[in-house]
Amino acid sequence: MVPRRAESLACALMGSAGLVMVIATPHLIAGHNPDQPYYLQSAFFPWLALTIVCVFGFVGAFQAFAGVERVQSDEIESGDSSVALGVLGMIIFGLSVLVSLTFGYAVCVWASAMSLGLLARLSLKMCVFISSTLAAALYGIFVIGFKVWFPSAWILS
Amino acid sequence: MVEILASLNSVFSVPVFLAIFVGSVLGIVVGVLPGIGPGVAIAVLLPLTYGMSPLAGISVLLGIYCGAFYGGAITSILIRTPGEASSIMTMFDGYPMAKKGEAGRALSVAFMSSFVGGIFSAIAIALLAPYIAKFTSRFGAPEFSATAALALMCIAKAYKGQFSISMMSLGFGLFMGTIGIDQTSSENRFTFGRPELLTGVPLVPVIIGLFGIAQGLILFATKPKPMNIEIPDSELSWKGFLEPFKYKATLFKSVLLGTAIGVLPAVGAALSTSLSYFEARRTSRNPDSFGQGNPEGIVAAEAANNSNSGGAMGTVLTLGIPGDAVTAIIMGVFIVHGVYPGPQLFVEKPELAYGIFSSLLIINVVIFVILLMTTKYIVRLVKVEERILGLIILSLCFIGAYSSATSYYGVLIALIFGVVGWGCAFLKIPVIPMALGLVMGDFFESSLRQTLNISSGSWLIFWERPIAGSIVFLTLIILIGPVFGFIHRLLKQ
Repeated sequence: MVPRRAESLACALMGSAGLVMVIATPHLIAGHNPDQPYYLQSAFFPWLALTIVCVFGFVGAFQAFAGVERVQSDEIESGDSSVALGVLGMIIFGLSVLVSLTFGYAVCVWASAMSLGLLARLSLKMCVFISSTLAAALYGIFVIGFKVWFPSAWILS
Repeated sequence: MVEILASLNSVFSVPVFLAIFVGSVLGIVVGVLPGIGPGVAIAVLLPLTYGMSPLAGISVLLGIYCGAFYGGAITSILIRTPGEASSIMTMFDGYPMAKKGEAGRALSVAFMSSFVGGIFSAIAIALLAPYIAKFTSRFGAPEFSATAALALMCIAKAYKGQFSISMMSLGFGLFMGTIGIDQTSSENRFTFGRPELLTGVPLVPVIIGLFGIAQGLILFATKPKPMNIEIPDSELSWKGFLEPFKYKATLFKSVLLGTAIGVLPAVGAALSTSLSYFEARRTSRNPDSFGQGNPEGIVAAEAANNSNSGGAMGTVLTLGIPGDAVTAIIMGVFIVHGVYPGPQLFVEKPELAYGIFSSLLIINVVIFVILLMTTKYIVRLVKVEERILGLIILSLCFIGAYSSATSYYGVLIALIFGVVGWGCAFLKIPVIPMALGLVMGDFFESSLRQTLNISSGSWLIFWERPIAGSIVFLTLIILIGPVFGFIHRLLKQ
C-alpha cells in the first residue's frame, strides 16, 4: 500500500476548509436567525453538507495516506498529461475573455486556438487550419445561427 | 402503449428527428474519438440545446449518450482501446476476433446486440414507467428525501476504496447548491453581497468546467504519441447481424440485467457488462473459448451495455434522480427548460415523458442505420490526435459557458470549476459526486426540510412510514458498512 500524499493533503485541506466554514456559516448568511428551530434555519442544510465535507475529508485524507486501494471508474484520467502545459492552457483560456472583449469573439477563438496549438507543438500549418476552421465554424453556428450576443469589440468602438 | 404510439408523432416532427440524427452522429463520433466520453461531449455540446424544445434538446443528448455506447465497441474491437469502462468486456472477445480477420463479423455482432438491448430496454421502461410513477406519486416529502439520500449514497459507494473521498466531493456539491437565496427563509446564503450569486451557482458552467474544460486541458497537454494504429478491415456482415440470435438465452439475460442495473443509481453500465459477461461464460458449454474470440461474449457485453440507457432514463423520469454524470447533465437540461422530472411529469407533461421513450427507440434505429452505412469511414477517427481534440473542446467550452447566460460570468465560473476538475483528475478525486450533489442539492434540501417541518424536527418520522423507513435503513447500511469493513481490516492487520 503506497501512501498518496498529494491526495491526502488535498483531502485534509478540504476537511479543514469544511470545518472553518461550519463555524463561519452563521456569519455568512445575511439575516441568519439562530433562535428559530434548527430545521427552519437557513444554515441547517449548509451545516449538514459541510459536516459531510469535514468528516469525510479527514477520513479520506487518512485513507489516502494509508494507501487504501481504489478501482478504475468512469472519471476523467490525467494519464500522461503535462501539468505545466495544462496551467498554460488555463491561462490562455482565461486571457481569451480579454481578447474577446478587445478584438471580438471570432478573433478570440482564432487567437486562443492558434496559441494553444503552438503550445501543444502542432505544426504551424495545422494550427492555422484548425484555428481558422474553428473560428469560422463557431462564429457561424453560435453568433450567426443561434444569435448569441457578444459585446462589440472595444478596439472597433 | 397508446401513449408511446401517440408520442411518435412529435418524435417524427422535423426539429426532433433532426435533433435525433445530429445527436446520434455526434454520439458515434464521440464513442470512437480517443479520450472523450459521453459525459464530456454532453457537457460541451449543452449550448446546442438552448434554443430547442425540451424534447428536441433531450433527444440530442440521448443520441450522444446511446451513440457513444455503439461507438465505444468500435475502438474496443478494432484497436483494443475501450473508450469507456463499460466497453472493456467487449474487447475481450472482439479484439481476438479482429486479429483473426473477423473484425466486420465482431462489429456486426456488437451492433446488433446493442440494438436489441437499446430497443428492449426503451420498450420495457416505457411500459413500466407509468406504474413506477404511479407508485412514487404516493411518495411524500419523507420518502423523497430518503430516496435522494439513498441515491447520493449509492453514488458515493460506486467508488470502491474511495467512499470517503467521494462523500467529501458529494458534500462539496451539496454545499455549492446552497449558495444563493434560501427558498424557505429568503435569506442570502454565502453570496458575499454579489448579485450574481443570488440565484445560486449556475449549473451549466459548472458542468462545462468540471467535465469539459478539465478534459480539454488534459487532452491538450497530453504528450504526442506515434500514430501507427493499424485499422483492420471492418466490412459489416449480414451473417454477423443474425449471430446474436443464436445465443437467445444470453441475449435475453444480458438485456434484462442491463435494464435492471441501469435503473439503480450509480451502479453503471460497467458492472452490468461484466456481470452479463461472466454469467454468459458460467452458463456456456464452452467457457474456455471466452476471451479468445467467442461472439457470445460480445453479445453478453454489448446487449447489457446499451440496455443501461433505458433503465437510467427510467429512474430520472419517474423519480427525478440521476444515476450518473450523463443523466445528471440530462436532468440539468430538463431544469434549464423549466421541466422537473419525477412522478408528476407523467401527469403534467405525458407527451414529453413518453416522447423521450419514443425518442430512445428511434435513436437506436437511426444509430444502427448510420453505422450500417458509415462504419468504414467512422473508424478512421481513431487516428485523430488528442491534442487537437483538446483544442476543439476548450473552444467549445468558452462559447458554451458564455452562451449559458450570455455573460462572461459563466466563463469565469466554468474556468474556476475547470481548474477544480483538472486538479481533481490529477489527485484522483472523483468529480461526478460533486456534480450530482449540485444537481440534487435543491431537491434534497427542500424535501428534507419539509419532512422535518411536518415532524417538528423529529427524525423519527422516517421510521413511522414503512417506505421511507426501509429506504433510510438501506442508506444507513451503505453508510455504516464501510466503517465496519475498515475496522475489520485494521484489526486483521
